[in-house]
Amino acid sequence: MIFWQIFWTFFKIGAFSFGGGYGMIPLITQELVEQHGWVTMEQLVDMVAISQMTPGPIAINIATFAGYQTAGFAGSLVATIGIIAPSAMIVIIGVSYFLKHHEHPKVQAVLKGIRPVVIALIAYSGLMIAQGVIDGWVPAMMILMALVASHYYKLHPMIVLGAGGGIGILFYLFL
Amino acid sequence: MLIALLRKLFITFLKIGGFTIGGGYVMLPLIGKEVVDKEGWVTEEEFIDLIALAQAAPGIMAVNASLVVGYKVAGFGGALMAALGASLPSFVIILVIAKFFWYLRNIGVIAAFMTGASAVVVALLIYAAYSLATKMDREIKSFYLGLAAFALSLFFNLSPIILIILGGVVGYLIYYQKQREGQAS
Repeated sequence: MIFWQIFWTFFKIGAFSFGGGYGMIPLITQELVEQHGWVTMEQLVDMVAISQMTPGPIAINIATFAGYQTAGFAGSLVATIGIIAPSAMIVIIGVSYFLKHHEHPKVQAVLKGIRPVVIALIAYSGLMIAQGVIDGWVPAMMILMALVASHYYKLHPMIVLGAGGGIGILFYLFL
Repeated sequence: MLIALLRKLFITFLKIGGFTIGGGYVMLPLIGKEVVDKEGWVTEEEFIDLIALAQAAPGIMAVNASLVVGYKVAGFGGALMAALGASLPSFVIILVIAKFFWYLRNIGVIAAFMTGASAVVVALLIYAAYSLATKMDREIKSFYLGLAAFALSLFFNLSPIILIILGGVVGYLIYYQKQREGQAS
């Protein structure tokens, strides 16, 4: 059953991702690209770029995109519900409990251990994607420029992506 | 009365979902502005607690935030309406894009644009890891934990789920148990 598979896959992604949209990318890569082959690495990078230029939570965008790609409209619906379901259950069932206990030392200790792992995973998926993207000096220079633009000029990701796309058009279409 | 409140919740979060580009960290201040300053549904202090919960729980931060605020304001139905409002705009927009994107992807201009944008995605990921790392407590233990997770993915291709569970267990052992032993002695 493809829909059950989609639901379960996105449920897992929703249950184990911490640290916002980027924290989901390592899991999405593992599940969708490596495990199921529902999307290619190139398509995933496209999806991330598009998600950053359209409104709303990035993870909803990626789930909708990947679900549609795999099984049409119903697929996108199942994927989106799947990715929201775990935290919806945790948050609604536990809201009164958690509000009192989220600063509980046990919870804090677990989260403190998870944080560096999430950071490592995000860096790792950045390098994985870089392998496919860097095929010459143009993308390598663009990555550097985008890092400078984000760090020193604090430009919004949407603007950096738009500029990157513009440079892409310039180089690959006209030169 | 309740229906009106639910509709208000839905529309408020629909606006937030429809007009913020860039995900959770961009959405949180906007949610605060709407639900604390404008509607007065929760106090500033309650909002900070709710956001801490939304960030501690796994999943999508912006959706978690809408769930907890919605629940606080109007119970289960409120959580549902707020989450639906926050997710609906991106769902619809992406659906339209997904329908046409792969046909358009091969057109020269769009292909060149996406190739350029792909390089930026690499930079955004590396920068996200960097800025998260600088916000963390500067502890050598966290550094080694991150390094170990990186090495395990690189050399053994361990699943992120397994690594996150391991991270949680190690965190519990070194930060919680240590603390208890420290208190006991």
